[in-house]
Amino acid sequence: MAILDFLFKITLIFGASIGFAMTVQAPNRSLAITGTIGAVSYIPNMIASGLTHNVYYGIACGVASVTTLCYFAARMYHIPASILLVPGLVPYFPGQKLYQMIWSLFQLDLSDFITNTSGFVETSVCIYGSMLTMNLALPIIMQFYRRIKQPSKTKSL
Amino acid sequence: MGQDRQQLLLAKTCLLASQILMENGSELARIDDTVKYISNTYSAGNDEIESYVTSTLIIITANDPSDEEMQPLVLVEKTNVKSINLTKIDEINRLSRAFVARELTLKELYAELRALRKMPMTSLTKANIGSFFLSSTLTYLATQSIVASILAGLFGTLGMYIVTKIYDALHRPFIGELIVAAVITILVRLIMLVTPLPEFNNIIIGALFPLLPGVQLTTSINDIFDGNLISGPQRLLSALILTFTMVLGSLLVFTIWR
Repeated sequence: MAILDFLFKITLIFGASIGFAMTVQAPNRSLAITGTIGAVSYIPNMIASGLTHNVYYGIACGVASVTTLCYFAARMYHIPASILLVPGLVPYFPGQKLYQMIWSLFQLDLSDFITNTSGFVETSVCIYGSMLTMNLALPIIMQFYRRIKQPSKTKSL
Repeated sequence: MGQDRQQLLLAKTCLLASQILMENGSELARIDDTVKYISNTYSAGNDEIESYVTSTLIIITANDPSDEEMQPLVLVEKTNVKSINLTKIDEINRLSRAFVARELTLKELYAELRALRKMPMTSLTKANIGSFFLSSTLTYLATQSIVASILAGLFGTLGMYIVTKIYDALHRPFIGELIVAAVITILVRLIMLVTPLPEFNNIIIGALFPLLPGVQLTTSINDIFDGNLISGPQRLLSALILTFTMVLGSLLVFTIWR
């Protein structure tokens, strides 16, 4: 039952990523790729948040995997990475927290406002910090990998 | 003279590509890269083409460093983000790749860009179906309720339709989102008169999810970290105001209803 529940969640995330891609008029050839990236990257999110009992670690791991998968998929399919990245981040967007933050501000509920604002800021830091880290790290890692690969190619020749 | 006309065409092509990308929600780094690819491919570094892009203004300068007497060419165009359309961004990417691969001449690229700018390339049906999937799936994840998710999906679809029609009629941002938030809240309240809806807040948020500025937030953060401290905060402010108006729409209805 746990496996079915897990698969069902993954399917929902797949649908949500494709749905968001459709609302922002993503090209049709990118829809399945976006959905797959969104669904697959939810797995490290669930694992990390389950192991650490902290949703923010899950968000950071999920966003890191989305960024990584988009980096490689963009090069494989010649699609701009941002077209794949933005719908893939849909499960993590802090839009709901932002809405609740402004709602509690209007209601003059200070404690709720502080809670929602801190939630929004923490989620944003996790998402954008993780994205920035991977955007900086991936080119360096690939450069290092190519350097290692090249001497082994010349050796075999 | 012939070289001046070619330089003007190159600058106009870069300007048009920048304009289309900015109007459809691209991040600034992509715009800079596209301008660089086009100018380096055409002039092989002989012409210096620089772009300065903000959310409301694009400035393209063209200069031939080998010709000291020549005045630099400056093109300025007002712009604004009209909508998020990733298909057009993908199409610009395809055209610039074709140009770099010498499959298109500069004149052909300019003609293609002009035609692309006129084409709407938006599908309201696609956006509506996408809104339904997005709202219903995320609401189900939050509430585990099929009724809530179906309601959120239907209201999300209605919201996307209304926002698009209002923007087509008025060409003003924020008003459509304000009205949609109010309409969705009224509909939820009307249903609550007939049957209790304990997850009514989640239904409203789920229905508004397609309109929440996730793309603008992401591109604004990307722009800020790329060092664009004018357009990044501009977009961030726009995203905050958009969310603010949606909350305001819901809150007005709740307040009046009470």
